[in-house]
Amino acid sequence: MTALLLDVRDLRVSFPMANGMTEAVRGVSFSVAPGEAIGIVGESGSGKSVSALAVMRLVAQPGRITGGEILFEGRDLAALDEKAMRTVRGRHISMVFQDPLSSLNPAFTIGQQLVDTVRAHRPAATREAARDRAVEVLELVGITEAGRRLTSYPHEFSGGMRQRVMIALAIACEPKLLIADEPTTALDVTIQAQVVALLWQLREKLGLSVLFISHNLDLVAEICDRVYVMHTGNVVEHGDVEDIFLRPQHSYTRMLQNCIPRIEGVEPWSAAARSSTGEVAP
Amino acid sequence: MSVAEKRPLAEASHVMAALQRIWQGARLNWATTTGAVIVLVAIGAAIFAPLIAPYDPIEIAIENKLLPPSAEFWLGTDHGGRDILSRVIWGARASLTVSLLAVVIGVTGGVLIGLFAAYHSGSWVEQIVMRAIDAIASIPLLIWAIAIIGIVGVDSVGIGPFTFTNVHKLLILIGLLYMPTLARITHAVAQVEMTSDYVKARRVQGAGNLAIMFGDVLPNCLSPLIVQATLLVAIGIVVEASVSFVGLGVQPPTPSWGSMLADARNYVFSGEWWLPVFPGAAISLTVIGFNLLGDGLRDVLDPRRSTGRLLT
Repeated sequence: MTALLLDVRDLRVSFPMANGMTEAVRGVSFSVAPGEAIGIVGESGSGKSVSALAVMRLVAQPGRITGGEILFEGRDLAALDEKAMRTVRGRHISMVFQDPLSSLNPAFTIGQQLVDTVRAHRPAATREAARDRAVEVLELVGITEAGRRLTSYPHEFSGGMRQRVMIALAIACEPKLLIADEPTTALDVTIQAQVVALLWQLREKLGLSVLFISHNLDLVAEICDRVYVMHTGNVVEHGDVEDIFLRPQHSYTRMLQNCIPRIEGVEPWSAAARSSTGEVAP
Repeated sequence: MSVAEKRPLAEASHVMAALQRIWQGARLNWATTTGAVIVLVAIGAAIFAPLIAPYDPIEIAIENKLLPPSAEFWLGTDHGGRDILSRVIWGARASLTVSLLAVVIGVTGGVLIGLFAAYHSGSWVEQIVMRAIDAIASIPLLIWAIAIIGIVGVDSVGIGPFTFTNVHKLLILIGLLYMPTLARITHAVAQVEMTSDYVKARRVQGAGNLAIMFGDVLPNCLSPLIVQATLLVAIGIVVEASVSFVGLGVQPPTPSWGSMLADARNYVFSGEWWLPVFPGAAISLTVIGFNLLGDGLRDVLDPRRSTGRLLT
């Protein structure tokens, strides 16, 4: 068995409430192998985003990790101090959020933000080197005339473009793991397909591991190898994407599946459905 | 670690970039332009006073006492025979030194306090800081200024190698009294900005707290701060004039608009109208200038009113 990139064991996250602690994540375990894409699906409040933030050690205050191990390349992130954790964030594990419209600082150009992120993790890099890297990653995520777009402000981009820029920011320092927290939820369906295709491409090209979080089982099926289904802070079912999709064991998984509107006559997990959404010009 | 150490440079460049953006986006209308011109003229007068003032502003020439405006003395002379124009030009120095430096002190302190409180958002630290600031701000600035200068006295104070004249004391005091206003604005804006997704995204990218506060949050707070700073300059001019008027500000014989008005008080009804009118006009014009500039900047910088060139 190959060494796991990320191995989360019995993770617990709690939030203090008026009457004691409320556990949002109740002993969740999941793992990501190098180059693997796994999906975590579940409804709002099922604990999937909190689990992802816990991996980054960025659970919103006053919530905190109350138990479990987060082994990243054998190192327990839950036990790292904040300073060491900062070098992990962005450099080794990166994250893309749901809303690309507000995830970029409105006051700075795309170029400034990319250059700063690159230089934050590679202090030795010159401004020129960082700029070259910025152009490189922008091209990688499919932004044309990347050199010219460096001087653009976030509001000059469309939503889909901004999500591409966010992904560029996330992969700028060549992380090994990309956590995508509902990266397509705020986008319309065609752009969703493009972003999913982009993630797929990056995974192939860079050997990136992807932790894809969504409430949409179909989308997860598009790019993931394995799926974890979460409900009320627990993993209720996990396995290969086809098994989960075609032979769901848990009633909750079946419910999730049934809540996605279908086009009559087209089996969603079919070649026809995949080709209709999975392709996009690079 | 290197991440924390390299940030100050990046922060400075961030703030510069934000200022540059404001500069690029500043499409000035006539009111803003008028304000800017008045402000530039006043600042020019203050800087180049020794070159442009036609007479010595301090030396008394009793033979020229109380002359009306003429070709020789454009704005007339006062009871000591001193040229009013020269005194008004030199007076700009006292007024603008106090008001501009006070704003610099106020912005620096206010921003630091505001960011500090916003950083501790939700904790007792924030409560203590912000309530203390509310307490200070509950007493009007002018009353604070008069009370404290009244207690400390108007004489120069030597602390170690530094000598603080009354002008220095006044500008530090006004600067301190500006801090609550500016801290409140910074706190309010920063608190909102800190909950935004881009701050979360910056954390995910591995940025430290200081880098986020100064590099990301502060540049997004600049617009309202710049507007408020401009308006506070105008208030500073009035405060300096008022304090000098009651004799607690700039000390004679150094000219200041406020002390000139105080001197002119005795001549208001005796026909020497030029004594109070010209320093009064200088105060009004400069204040109007800064207000117009501030309003204009607000129009340009307010994301809801600008046409989207700046903040979306």
